[in-house]
Amino acid sequence: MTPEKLLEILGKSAAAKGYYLHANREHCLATAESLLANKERYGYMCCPCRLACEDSRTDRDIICPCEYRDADIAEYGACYCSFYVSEEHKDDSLFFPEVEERRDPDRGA
Amino acid sequence: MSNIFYIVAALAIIAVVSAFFLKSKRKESSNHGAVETWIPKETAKKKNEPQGDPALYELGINHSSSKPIMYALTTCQHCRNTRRYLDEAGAEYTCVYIDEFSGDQRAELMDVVRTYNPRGTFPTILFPNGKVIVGYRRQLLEEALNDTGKTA
Repeated sequence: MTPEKLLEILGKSAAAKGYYLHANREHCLATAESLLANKERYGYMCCPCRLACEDSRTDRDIICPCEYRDADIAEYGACYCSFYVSEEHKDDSLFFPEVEERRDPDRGA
Repeated sequence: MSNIFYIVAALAIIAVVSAFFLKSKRKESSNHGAVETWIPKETAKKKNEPQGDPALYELGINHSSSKPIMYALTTCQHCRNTRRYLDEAGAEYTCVYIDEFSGDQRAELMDVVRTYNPRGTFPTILFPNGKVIVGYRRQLLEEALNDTGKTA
């Protein structure tokens, strides 16, 4: 799968939840490439901004879209990677908020 | 009547073969010590996988350098943005990509990261003067570089 195709698929699934992919196309393409790299390495599309445990059961909360996306978008307007954004920020290509990690540190790698 | 005889005979043969097989397995197990450690095939494979650069591993573990050390992920956009900023600022630094290591080495490097950043997030940048910056923070990076006189 190409990063462009992945963006198309993820963009549609995000829209179904009322979210958008970030307006910065270069950022989105790089994130999609990283997701595909993680799929190749681990067998699942782990969040590229977090270190995978290499076990899909342990990492299920950070498989993109992660379990924290809704809360992050509600509070910051973007997910942890600034890959998904709210409607309010859908046209702002410079919108990169500092999103605090919600994941329990004991759960990580 | 003869059918029943054949069925009983077949069951008896299966029972004898099974008992012999189990006995030989037990003997094999006892040859390797009292406690057997089961290692999943995938884990065993990972232990044999090549690790990242040994010099970077040493630096990442000892974390003593005259240059900033950045703990990062190859896939992380915040890490890429931070690298781009540092490069554009002409900063000298060393980047240790944690995801290029696996097994014990990865765990040991993560222990170091958590020493300075308990949440274990990326990037985590250690400056020689002891300052720690977590995430892509342009303002903080600029201040830290000015403090250490590493800007171009």
